[in-house]
Amino acid sequence: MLHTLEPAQWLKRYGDYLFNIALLKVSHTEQAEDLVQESFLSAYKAREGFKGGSTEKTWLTSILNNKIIDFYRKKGSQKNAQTYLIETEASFTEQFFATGEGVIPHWVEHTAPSDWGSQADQKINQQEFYKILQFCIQKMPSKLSSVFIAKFMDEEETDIICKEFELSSSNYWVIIHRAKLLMRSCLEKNWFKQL
Amino acid sequence: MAGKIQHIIHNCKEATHLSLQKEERALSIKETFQLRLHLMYCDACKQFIKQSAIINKAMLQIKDAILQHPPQKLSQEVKDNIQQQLNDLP
Repeated sequence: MLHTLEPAQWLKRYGDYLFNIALLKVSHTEQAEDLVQESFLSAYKAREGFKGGSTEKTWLTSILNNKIIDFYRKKGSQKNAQTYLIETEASFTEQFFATGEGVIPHWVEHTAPSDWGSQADQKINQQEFYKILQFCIQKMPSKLSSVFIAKFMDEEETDIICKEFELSSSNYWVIIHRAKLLMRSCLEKNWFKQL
Repeated sequence: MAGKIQHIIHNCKEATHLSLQKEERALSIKETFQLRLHLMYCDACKQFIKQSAIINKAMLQIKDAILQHPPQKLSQEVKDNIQQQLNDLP
């Protein structure tokens, strides 16, 4: 079945949705608003080229994603991941693991993952959970969250992500590791321990 | 050798790093041994692995959750502005 576009409905159907997706990736309200606006305008101009192979929502989301990639490219903020990771390595590690001369980095008592309970899987089916998840993504440094989102929300292939963000494979893994550690501890603190 | 084993057993940073790679690629024999040995002694890292899978699942569902209940709304002013610009296009 081929999908069709209904531009008159776009704003009503996908305006808030695209705004929230943009907020995950750029975190500033005004930038997110601008990106949504640009996306709708570009989509409208490109509507004749829509082949109907994907849903309207998927098509609009991919236009927004391209806008966001351009946005980061212009800012040049994806560059120097290497420098960023090296400069922050020590301070990041000591947030989670015991460190020091000759110390093997292991969890310390207050950072070690605690049991989320046997119902943890169900606790993510609640609407309220996704507000917390959104909060935790937005709290992450954007150098980490942009890669984390590309991998786990947009399900992009690792080699594509590395190209897009100009990352070596080992820097990619350091970013994923840090992002997961931050996300895990944020969710534990703000959701799983609160229930 | 004993020092090496001690190092593996206590290195949660390395174990969590390896466990995330395992989600995506087959670990080498050495890495597999290292991770298994670590997990025999470390419950916290076992929790980490379970929780990582829950987070991955949640991230796959977040778009749908946002579509159904967008936590933030565009202001009416911004909406009107976008609609106006769309109307002005040929």
